[in-house]
Amino acid sequence: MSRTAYNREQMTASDTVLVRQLATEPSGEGLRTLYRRYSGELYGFAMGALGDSGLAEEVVQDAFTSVWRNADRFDPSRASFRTWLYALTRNRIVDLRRRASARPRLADSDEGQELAELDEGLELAALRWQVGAALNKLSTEHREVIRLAHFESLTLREVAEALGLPLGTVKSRSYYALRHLRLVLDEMELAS
Amino acid sequence: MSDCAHFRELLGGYVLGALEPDEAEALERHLEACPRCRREHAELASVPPLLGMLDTPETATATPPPELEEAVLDRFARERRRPEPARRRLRWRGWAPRVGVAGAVAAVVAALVLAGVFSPDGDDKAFGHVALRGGGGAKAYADLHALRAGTGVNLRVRGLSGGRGRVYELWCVEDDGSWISGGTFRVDERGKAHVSLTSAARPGEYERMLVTRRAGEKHGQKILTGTVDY
Repeated sequence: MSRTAYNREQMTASDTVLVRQLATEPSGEGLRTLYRRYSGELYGFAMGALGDSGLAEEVVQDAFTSVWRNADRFDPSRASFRTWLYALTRNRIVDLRRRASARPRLADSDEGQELAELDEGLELAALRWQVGAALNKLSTEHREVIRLAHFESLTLREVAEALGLPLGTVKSRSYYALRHLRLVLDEMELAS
Repeated sequence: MSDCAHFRELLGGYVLGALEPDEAEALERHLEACPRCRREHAELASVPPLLGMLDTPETATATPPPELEEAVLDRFARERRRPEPARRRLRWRGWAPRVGVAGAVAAVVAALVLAGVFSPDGDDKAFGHVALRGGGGAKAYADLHALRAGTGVNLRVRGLSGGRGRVYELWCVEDDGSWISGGTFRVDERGKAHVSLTSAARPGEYERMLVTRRAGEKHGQKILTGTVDY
């Protein structure tokens, strides 16, 4: 395979293939491709969890460094790359929060309990962020129908009036929007 | 439209709780009698609870600064510990006579890099320079420094269009035509930028450099081109 063909493949290669290549592929292009696929949502997740852009950048950088350092440990049969990446990011956020709260504790404070609650909160935040990312993968038309019907609590008739569309179009659009979102959530291993 | 097709189109509105009461009741009666639509309903019904985790649909729009990508790739280039494969060294011997003096100089630079003469953090002296030109008076000038795992690029740009969200990417084009990214950057409101970037392309393995407007995972439109003066 020519190098040009290789580069073209790189752009469409699956996450698992790109992770496998990290150990042998010297240019770093695989890591760059993975970075471009996931850095936006990871950065958003870290920003939401830490509320600080500098710390969020540090977390994202550390997470991707962990990706290539631990590429040989990635097992796609256990979790998707996205799930693994979020776990790496979450761990780093926990570390940073632990560092930030390294202060004298009250005698009866339970550090284990605090960390468990923190981890649970981050788990939820990561899930929330991934659902948001899934929603962002929809077309503007599909997202708009979901926004109005779910987040604004409008009926489909009201959605049709708001968008100036025939009711039949909105019914059909809401169905395909939900189907598409379900597919994206499936791919992200979020839907049950 | 068959009954199923008609009712299936209502499923989206139904799971979102956005149907009129009479439509919802009619659909529920159909679902009791139709296993296929019931299955589809069960699939779609899992979506709204996940949406319920979001306060707004606008949560996943944060954008990391473009220089973060370079920081990640730079760390990758610096930290990796990869023994140099024999294939690469053989390639130097076959390549140098074909490109004459420039190739020989590049080969010497590369040999020094491989021998570890240059520090991992680069060298103050540039091994090459490149002037890049494009339309509308846009131009750039880059000093190239050898790094153990690639090239450090000190890039000065002027005359590019600024604008919110506009990101440019530098590329090293290898002699076989493959493109190795040198990183991304933005320009200020005057169309200027002065940035330090890192590419995994090794000194001497490329002769052309390009700047493109970044377009996702694709190469993007060429804006500036130039040939490396080794």
